[in-house]
Amino acid sequence: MTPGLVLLLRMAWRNIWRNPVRSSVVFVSMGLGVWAGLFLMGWASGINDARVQDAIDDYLAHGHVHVAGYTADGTNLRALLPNAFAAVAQLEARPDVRGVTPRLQVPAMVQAALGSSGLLLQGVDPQREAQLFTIPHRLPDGAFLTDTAREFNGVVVGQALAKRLDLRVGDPVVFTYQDTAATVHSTLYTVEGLYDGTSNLTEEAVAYVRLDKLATELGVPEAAHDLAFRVDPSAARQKESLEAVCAQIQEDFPEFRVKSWRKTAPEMGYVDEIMAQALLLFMGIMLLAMAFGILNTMLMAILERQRELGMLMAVGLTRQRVFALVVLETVLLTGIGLPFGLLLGHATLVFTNRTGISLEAFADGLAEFGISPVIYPQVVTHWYLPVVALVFVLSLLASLMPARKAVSLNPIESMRAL
Amino acid sequence: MSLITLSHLRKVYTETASDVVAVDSVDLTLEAGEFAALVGPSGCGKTTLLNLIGGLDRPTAGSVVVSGTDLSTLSDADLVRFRLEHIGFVFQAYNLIPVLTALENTVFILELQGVPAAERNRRGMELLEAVGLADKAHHRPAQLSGGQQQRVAVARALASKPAFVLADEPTANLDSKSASTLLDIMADLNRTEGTLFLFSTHDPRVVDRARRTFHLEDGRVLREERKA
Repeated sequence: MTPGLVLLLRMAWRNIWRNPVRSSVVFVSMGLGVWAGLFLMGWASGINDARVQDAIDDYLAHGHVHVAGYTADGTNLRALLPNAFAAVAQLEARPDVRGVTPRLQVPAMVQAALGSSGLLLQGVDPQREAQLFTIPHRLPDGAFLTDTAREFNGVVVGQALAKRLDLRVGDPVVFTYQDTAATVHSTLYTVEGLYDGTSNLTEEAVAYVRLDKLATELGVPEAAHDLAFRVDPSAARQKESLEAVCAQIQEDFPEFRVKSWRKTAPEMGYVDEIMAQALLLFMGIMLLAMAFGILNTMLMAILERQRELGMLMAVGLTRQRVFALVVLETVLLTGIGLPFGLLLGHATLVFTNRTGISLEAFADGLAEFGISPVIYPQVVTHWYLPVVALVFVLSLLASLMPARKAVSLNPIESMRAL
Repeated sequence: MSLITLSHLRKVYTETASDVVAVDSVDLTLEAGEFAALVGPSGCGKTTLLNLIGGLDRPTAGSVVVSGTDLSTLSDADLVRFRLEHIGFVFQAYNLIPVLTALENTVFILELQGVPAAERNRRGMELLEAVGLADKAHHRPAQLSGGQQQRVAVARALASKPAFVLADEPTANLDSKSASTLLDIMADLNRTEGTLFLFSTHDPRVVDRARRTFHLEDGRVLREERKA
């Protein structure tokens, strides 16, 4: 170790305790800043994870099989998977696949007594859909495409749509859509159930009918636009493992396109990264404001110790060592609050991750954005190191001005200072 | 060869109104082991002269040669190192480091020089013993009286066995008993360590003890006295 470094460390450590109250204010503010920043990151991560999971459970699944030219809005009706049921069977035979559901999708206009609305009419197999998604189980009213629905053209619509069109179970509605030959069909359906989606947007955008019924209407028996599948949860957890499974499935279906949810709904994945980066930036701004407080504290300390610093330089402390002393003091001053902030932040995240934070009072507003009313903040350990680095860099930056001020002192004039 | 040689030394401070000549054409030499004093009233230039000899200030003209090294040839960084290696300082206001103990203050220079802990602590205790403060080794400056603090400052100045010690008004803030004790200690150390002591002072107690005195006025050495 460089001669004198231990001495400088010892002096720096003791110097920060010369004014315990002033230093404690810095420790506490730094600790609280780090705690608040970590909690916000964990909170945002929790919201986003829940949003992604809810979307996967609602409609997204882990992956999809389509033909080339498929569009999720159903506008390319001819993008059909022929022999869809054979493909379903082949997919289900894979050990890493936990469920498959075929879907027909057609843009439609729904007309009710009080108005009309455009949406995506989705033909599904009720049993398979119920295995993969939660919507068939979240029906505050009615049922999800029972066998008898085949007789009366049952349709399940979202609560938000039902509210807008004043629809109740048993009400008639007319769906108008084109088939693959561009023939327009206007078919009378009966509302069989109202589903509770996690987002009002989804509730207004998608309605469900039986697959066999829609296939007959469109004249495409045995076909589907989309095979949605779920994989083993352990494979789904990590981006890389899910992509690996999708790549293997793609090898089984070279004539089709196999995509994970990250590719069919890339915005869901980006939000996570963008939000975390935005929060790190937010935390950086918060800590930067704190760094100015630290800078001010250190400038005051330098001013108060002008005579002492002059003496140190007079007896042989080089300017580099004076610089190092001030930098060490600043880093220690900020560094003490850091572990407390990290520990407190970690403990808060671990605790709230278990208990969850209920926002039932804001449930309606949150539902607009597809956010669950109970938030489970995530323990964002992967952000700890960047936060430590951020604090370290900011404290170094905050030390530069006081350190420059200290080394610019003239020993003789400083020793004359009162 | 003399330990310190000042030749035609001159220091002028440029003020807005007019130039102030603080040191004017000073020539003197000092040998190892001397116990000397720069004497004169306030503003006569003794502290400026001491700062020039200590490499804390640079002369406007002339030279300061210490142990054969002309200080004007050294860079600022080299001057700091030179002070660290060759010069001990004792200041009027003690100027100890408040966060270090008496022993840590004493061995401060040795620690900067990278002297091993055992060796520097042995030397530190030896000096604290010599200044009568061995029992206060682990006290901080705030726990010591003014006289005790100045004795620690003397111990610090001598710790690295410098070529000479510059003491600027060392007794100015001390009562007569403390001043007398301090002067006894410095005289003893001058004898035992063989270190040159150069004081700036107007304290007659110091002048009485000095074996060589330089009387200054208006930046010039008016006369020099030697005692047997």
